[in-house]
Amino acid sequence: MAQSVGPRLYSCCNCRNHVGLHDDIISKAFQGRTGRAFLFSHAMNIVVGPKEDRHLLTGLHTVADISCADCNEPLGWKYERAYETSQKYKEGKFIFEKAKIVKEEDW
Amino acid sequence: MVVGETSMELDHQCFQMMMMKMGGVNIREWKDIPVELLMRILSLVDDRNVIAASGVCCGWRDAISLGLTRLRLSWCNNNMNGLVLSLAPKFVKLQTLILRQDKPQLEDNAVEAIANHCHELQELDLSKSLKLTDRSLYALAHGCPNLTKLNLSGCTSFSDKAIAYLTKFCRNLKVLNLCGCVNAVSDYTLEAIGNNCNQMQSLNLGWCENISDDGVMSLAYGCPDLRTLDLCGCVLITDESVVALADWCIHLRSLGLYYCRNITDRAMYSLAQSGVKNKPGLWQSSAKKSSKYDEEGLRSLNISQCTALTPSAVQAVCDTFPALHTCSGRHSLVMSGCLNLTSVHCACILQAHRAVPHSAH
Repeated sequence: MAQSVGPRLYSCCNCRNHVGLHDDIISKAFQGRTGRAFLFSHAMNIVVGPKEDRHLLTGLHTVADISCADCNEPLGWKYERAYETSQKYKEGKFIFEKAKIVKEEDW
Repeated sequence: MVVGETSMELDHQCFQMMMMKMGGVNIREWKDIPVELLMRILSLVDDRNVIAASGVCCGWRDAISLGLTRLRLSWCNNNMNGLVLSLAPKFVKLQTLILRQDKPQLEDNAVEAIANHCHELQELDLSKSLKLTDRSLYALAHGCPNLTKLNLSGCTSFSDKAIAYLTKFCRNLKVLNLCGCVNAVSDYTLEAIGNNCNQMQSLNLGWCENISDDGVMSLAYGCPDLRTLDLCGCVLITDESVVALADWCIHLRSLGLYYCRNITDRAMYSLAQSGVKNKPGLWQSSAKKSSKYDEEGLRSLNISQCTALTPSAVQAVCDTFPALHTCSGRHSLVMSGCLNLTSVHCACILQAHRAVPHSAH
C-alpha cells in the first residue's frame, strides 16, 4: 500500500491537503507570481475564487484565484478564458505555484 | 467483525442485510459505514493501510483524523521524514507515536510539525534519530506538554540545556529513556529532572558516563516515585548515589549498576537496610491496599562488573528482597563478571534441596 504503487500526489504546503495528481500535470514550464509554476488539467480539494481579468506574460486572460479548501492558502489560479487563440488550450486548467505545493514522496 | 456477520466479505448482498439489521440506517456504499465501525476495522489492519485509508475521501480522512490515537512508522525505510511532515497536520488526536528508525531519517522539521499539531501526545518514541538536534526538543517542550513517555535513546546530538529545558514544560514525564545520550545527560540535566519531573518512574541513563553522585542525588531527592533506574556504564557513580536512592526512592524496583566499578559493600548494605525499613508491619497488610510487589521491594538488580563487592553484603540484599532471584527460571540478580560472588544464592536454590515442596512465594 505504498505511495510508489498509488497515485503520486501534490499537497498544500501549509496543511498537506491533497490538491493534485502528478498524472494531471501538463507542463512544468510556467511562470507564476513567486517563480516556477505547473499547469494541471485537474485540481482537487480547492476553492475557486471570483473571476478577474488579468494581464499575464502571455496576454489578457480571465482567471480565478484558487486556494486550499482546508486552510485557504492561496495556491495559484484557474484559467477561465483566454483571449488569444494560441492561449485557448489553457481554458479550464489550473496553475499551481511550485512554492505552494509539496510533492508527496514514496514511503 | 461486521455487525451481525461472521464473514468479512462485503458485497452488495451483505450491504443489504446490514441495512435491514441496522434498522433504518441506510448503508449503500463504503462511505456510509459508521465512523465507529470504520475505526474498529482500522484497528485490525497495519499502519500503512490506516494511512492509505485516510486518503480515500474527505469523510474517511475526517473520521480517522478525529479517531486515530496510535501510530507506528518504524517500518518506513524511505522518507519517514516526509511522511511525518505530511501526516502531522492530519492526525491531530495522536496520543502514541512510534518513530524509532533503523536508518536515521527523521529531521527537526518533522518533529516541529508534530509539536505544532499533536498537542495531545503522551507517548513518543524517537529512538535512534541521529539527525535530530536541540531544535526538536525546544519544539516538543512548547507543543507537547502532556508527554508522559519519551524515548530519546541513541539520539547523540542533543545537549543538556535542551533536555533541561524540556523538563520545565513536560512535567508529567513518567518514563524517560536517555540511553546513550552522552552529551545530553550531565548533573545539570539530572538536577532539572529532579526539580521538574517529580512523577518520574522509569529513567534509563545507560552509558551517560558524565554523570556523578551530585546528579543522582538530586534525582533521588526530587523523584520519590522512581521505580526503575538504569545507570549502566555510569562509571563515576559511587556508593553515595545508591545510599541516596535507598533513602529517598522507597518504590525502587529495578536498579542497574553494570560497570559502576566504584560501588562497594556500603551501597549493598544501604539497600538492604532500606528494604527492612520499608516492609509494612504484619498487622498493616490487610488494611493497606498494597500489591504483592510493593511488599517485596527490589525485583531486579544488576551489579555486573562491580568487582569490589563481597558475598556477605550481596547476600544481605538477596535475603532482604524475596523478589531477587539467582535461580535460572527467574534470574533477576545479575552478577556477571563478579567471580567472587558465586556463592550468593536466592532462597529458591535452598528449597530445591528440600524433600517436601515448600511454597513461600
